[in-house]
Order: sequence, then structure tokens, then C-alpha cells
Amino acid sequence: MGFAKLTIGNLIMWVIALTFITLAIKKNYEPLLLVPIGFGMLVVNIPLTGLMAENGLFWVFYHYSIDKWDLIPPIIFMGIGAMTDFGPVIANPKTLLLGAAAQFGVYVTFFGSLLLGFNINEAASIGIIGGADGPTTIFLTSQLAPHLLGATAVAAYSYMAMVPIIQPPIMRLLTSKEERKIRMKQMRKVSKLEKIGFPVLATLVICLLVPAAAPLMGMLMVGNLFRESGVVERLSKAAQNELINIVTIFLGLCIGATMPAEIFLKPQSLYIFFLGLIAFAFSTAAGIILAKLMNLFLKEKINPLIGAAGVSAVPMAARVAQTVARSEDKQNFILMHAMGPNVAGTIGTATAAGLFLSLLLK
Amino acid sequence: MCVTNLGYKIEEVLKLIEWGRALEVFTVGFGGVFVCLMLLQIAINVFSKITSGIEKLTSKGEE
Repeated sequence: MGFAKLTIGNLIMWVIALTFITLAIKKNYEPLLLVPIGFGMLVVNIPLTGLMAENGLFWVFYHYSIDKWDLIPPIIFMGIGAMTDFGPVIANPKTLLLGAAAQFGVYVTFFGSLLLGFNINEAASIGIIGGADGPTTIFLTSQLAPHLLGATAVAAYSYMAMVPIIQPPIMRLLTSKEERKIRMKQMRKVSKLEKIGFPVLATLVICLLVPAAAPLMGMLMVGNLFRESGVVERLSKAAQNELINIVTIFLGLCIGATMPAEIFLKPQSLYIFFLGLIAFAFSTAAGIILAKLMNLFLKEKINPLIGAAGVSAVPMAARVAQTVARSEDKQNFILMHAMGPNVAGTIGTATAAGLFLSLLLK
Repeated sequence: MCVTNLGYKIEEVLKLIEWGRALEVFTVGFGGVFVCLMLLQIAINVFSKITSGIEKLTSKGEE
């Protein structure tokens, strides 16, 4: 009987699991992930089920889809690519720099983690939370510090869901009212040829420079090529619907399953959550500060709020920038401008992950 | 005294960190992201010029 082996730790994990499920259902916080994560966490904390024992059901899911072959994050990236319009980046490529600046939190947290006693591989896995990109966090952690996978993945997805709470105070602190009111000129129209060429170009540039980023970048861009080519609508729809939905189920269950009480209920999990928050805050701040610096040199000023969208969290971070801008000026529409750094952040985080792998797995 | 994740005092952790490697990861990593995205920015600008040139030529040809 499982009852005999039930521990206080298991009960605490049940409470956490039920909190996740409740937050997903009641508050709509990343429900596509928090529901399977919460349920995975719940069942894996029922004693004697053997789900995560070798050859147990969840062990097989986890072992073959994340641990051994690291399949799920690149497949999710393909779906994201198929759903993403890179038009705002093509129309205003300067915004790529904002996506790069927003990786600053990743490296600040990398050092913070080292100072808290984590080793260099663990520090990189914790730092990447600042990229606000769940699949990239999982991709990197599963290779560098698989024992931290549950905590880093949950931290990344939790903070992604909390972008509307975390970012606005930092945005208001770092910008003046006048800066928040800056209106940006309507973006130029991007031709179909440019949109088709972009995924090929981005793959060539990034993968030639950082080959280790190829699994994420290659899949992100093949998904985008499906979308923009206009001749493989079935593949594009499969990538952005059926396929991503299927892998999301397995991803959620696997992440939840990596959180049995004896692994998750350690002080280091709390440290990871704390460091993840620091990462998010610094990434947001760095994006805004670079946007303000760019304004010193640009003729046509950019609204510094769009810099905050450089953390990936697509499209939530861009929406938050729009909301904060509209709270100052109801007629100010910066959403499409903010989508530029937002999708650039996805490319930036995948590149940062590739660089971590190149440097730390050598 | 500040005690870290693994129960070490901060002075002990400072000695344990491989500073050379950590700084390499920071400079090559953060610098690398910037270089990659700057090069991508340049590539997009060049590509946009080429495509607009092609489109102009094509539309003239059609006229």
C-alpha cells in the first residue's frame, strides 16, 4: 500500500501540484504546461507507483524525449517557428540588439549562481531562466545539469506566466513618463521574398557562428519556413497545432515527473526560484537601458519600453510593453514594434544556450 | 556570515570558483550573442536591399 510509504515531503508536493493546477485553471497561468506539470508532479509523489523507476512509464517518456535524445525542446521550437511572424525584426533589424541586451540577466545570474555555490554547469542552467524561454531552459539544463531540470523548468515557465507582474514596475522605474509616451512610426511593409529568405538567412548566420545552437535555431527556422513558404500549409498547421500539442503533453508530464519530494524539496530549489527572478529583472532592465542608449544616437527615437520585450516570453512581454505604453497614452500602439525585440529574444536565448554548450561541453 | 547553497561560507566559494573559466563564459557568451545578432542584423539589411532591388527589376520588366 502506498499509504505506508507516504512522507510529509510527498504531501507538500501534492499541495504544490494542486496549487499549479489551480493557478492554471483559475488564473490561466501557462495552463498548457502547468496542468500536465502539476498532474505529473502529483502522481510521481504517490509512493510505490514506480513511474520514474527505470523502465517506468514516465521514466521512458523522460529518458527518450528529454534526457537521452533531447527531442522535445527542438520540436516545440519548430512549432514556435511556425507560429511566429518575424516581420517586425525584418522591418526593423535594430531590434535584434535589444534581444541580445536582454540576455544580460542570463549572465548576471550565471555569476550569482556561482557565488551561491552552484557549479559552472548548474550556474549556466539557472542563468538561462533569464532568457524567459522554457524549451531553451529545458534543452540546456537536460544537457548540463539534468538533476536541476524540474526546478529550472518550473521557474522558467512560472516567471514567463508572471511577466505582467514582474516587468511593469521595472519598466516604470527605468523610464520617464515622456519616454513611455514616445510614439514610433509605422513599420515598413515586409515583402514575401524577405519573409521566405529570413529563416534560411538566420539559420546560416547563427548556425555557422554557433553550431551548437543548430538544434534549436534549425528547428525554429524550418517551422518558420513552413509558414512563410505558403506551399506546405499542412506541415505548418501540423507543426503549430497537433505536433506541438502532443509534445507539450509529454513535456509537461516529464517535467512534473522530475519533481519527486526527495529531489525537489531542497534549499537549492528555492535558490533557483530566487535566482530566476533576478535573471528576469536584469534581462528586462538591460533591454530598456540599451533602448535608452540607442535613443542617444538614433534620429527616430524608439520607445524604451520595447526593450523590455527582449526577454523572449512571446508574445506576453510585447503585450506588457503595449499595456504600459497605453497606460500613459491611450493612442500609442507599440505592440508590433515590441514584437521585434520579443522574437529577437528567442533567437538570442537559443544562441546563448548554444554558446553555453560550446563552452561548457568541450 | 553568509552561507551558500552547499553550506560553504562565501570566502570558501570565492576560492572554489574557476574565475578564468567563468569570465570566459561571460565574455565569449554575452559578447558572442551580441556579435551573432549584430551580424544577423547586417545580413538582414543587405538581404532587404537585394530583395527590394530584385522586386524593382521584376516590376520594371513587367511594365
